[in-house]
Formats: sequence, structure tokens, C-alpha cells
Amino acid sequence: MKLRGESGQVAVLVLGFAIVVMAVVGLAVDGTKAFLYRRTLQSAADGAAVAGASELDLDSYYSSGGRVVAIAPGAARLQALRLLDSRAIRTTVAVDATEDAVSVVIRGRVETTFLNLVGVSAIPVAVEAVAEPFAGES
Amino acid sequence: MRRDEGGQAVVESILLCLVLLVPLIWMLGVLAELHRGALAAGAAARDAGFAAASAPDLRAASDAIDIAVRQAFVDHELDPERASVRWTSAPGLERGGIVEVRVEYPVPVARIPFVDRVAGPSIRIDARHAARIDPFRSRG
Repeated sequence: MKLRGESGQVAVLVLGFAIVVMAVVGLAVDGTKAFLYRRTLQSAADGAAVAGASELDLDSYYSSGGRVVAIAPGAARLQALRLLDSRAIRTTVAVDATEDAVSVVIRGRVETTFLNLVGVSAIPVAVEAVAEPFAGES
Repeated sequence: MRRDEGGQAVVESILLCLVLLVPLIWMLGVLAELHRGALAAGAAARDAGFAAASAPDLRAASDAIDIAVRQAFVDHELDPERASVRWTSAPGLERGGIVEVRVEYPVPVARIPFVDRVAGPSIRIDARHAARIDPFRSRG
């Protein structure tokens, strides 16, 4: 029996391996970009939520002798947005402030580099931070 | 006379795999270092921001930032001396003001196994954190 020619086998092997390598590199590079971006947004959201939760309703606080610690929602929202402005966060921001807590949700997109080759042009990133006030020493 | 080609495919495959594998492993190593540097810088900026926001004066805030940054990098087994820190507080350290801390750390790209990093290019990791000074915190 005559053996089939082996010509071109290496090219196929290398091509297959190169595709796998590119996929791994793409996931690693674009995943790292998304991870770093998410970390930045989370830090901003945390700071904004804490800043917002420090805006208390002074009337209820003083009238209760310090027993009632409630958030002033309007001022809290402004304070959270002010802190985000100071960090130049230019993404979709939703700040929800009630008397009990301040919630900050930031949504953004990371433009991809390698994954763009397979049709994934951006990775959506969303973070949330919630802060509540409490009386006493931290 | 043609030389025998037996085994050539194996040798070529190994060589080409090495050409692809070495950069891949190097890149994954750099990315791992980037992650570590980013985690350390992020933790440093966050801890330093909160520490400075609760400090009674500028001197204490500066000291608190140094301690927080150093601790964060040591916790991640990175050299804190390579990190650069800048911070601002406006207005001053008054209640309700904002303290912003920025930490930069260069992650070396060139490394040699068992020798660690060598002189060469690096990627600068940047982390920032803004913290509001508690408007109800007592001072001094």
C-alpha cells in the first residue's frame, strides 16, 4: 500500500495552533482590559456611594438627638454625582438615593482589540455600589 | 539524490510551536504581572484615600497615605519603592471635602526566569480613588 503524501501537514498544524494562540491572547488581552476598566469603575462607584451616604437629613438627626440617621436623598444624589464628576467618569451613571441607602450603578463598554476580529467589538461592564449611613465611630 | 525527509515534520512542528509558544507564555506572564500590579495599585489608592479622608491634618494624611500604599504593595509582594503617589485635597482637609489619591506603578515587560526583571520598557499602571471627608467627623 502506498503511503499518502505528508506534504503540507506542518502548515495545517501551525495554522491550527496559531488560531488557538490568537484566541488565548485575545481573551487574555481584552479580558485584562475589561478587568482593569471594571476595577476603575468599581472604585469610582464605591467612593460615590460613600460620599452620597454622608449627606444626612440634619433636621431629623438633630430633632431625634442623633438616634435617627437618615439620608437626604436629593443632596446625596448631588454629592455622589459631584464625586463622579471629579473623577471624569463619562459613562452611564444611575444614582438612586433613599433615606436608607445610596446606590450607584455605572455601566460602560470596553472596546476590544483582538476579539474585534471575531465580531466582538466591545465588552459591556457594569458595577454597583451601595452605602448606608450609621451613627457612631467607623 | 534526495535526502530522507523522515522526521522533518516533527522538527518543524516543534520549532514553529516554540516560535508561537514562547511569545504566548511571555505575554501571559506580563498580563499576570499587570493584574497583580493593578490589584496592588487599586488597593493602595483605595486604602490611602480612605485613610487620608479620616486624618486630622495634612501631615497625618500624608503619613497615612504612605503607610497605606506601602502596606498594599507589600501585601501583593511588590516593591513599594517603585510606586509613585500623588494626592490632592480640595478644599484642604475640611469636612465634606474630597481627597483624591493617584498611585502609579511601572510593571516591567522584560523578565528573565530565575533572574526577575531586567532593565527595559515597562507598562505604567494607574489607579485613582476619590474619597469624601466625613462632614460629621470630629477633628483633633
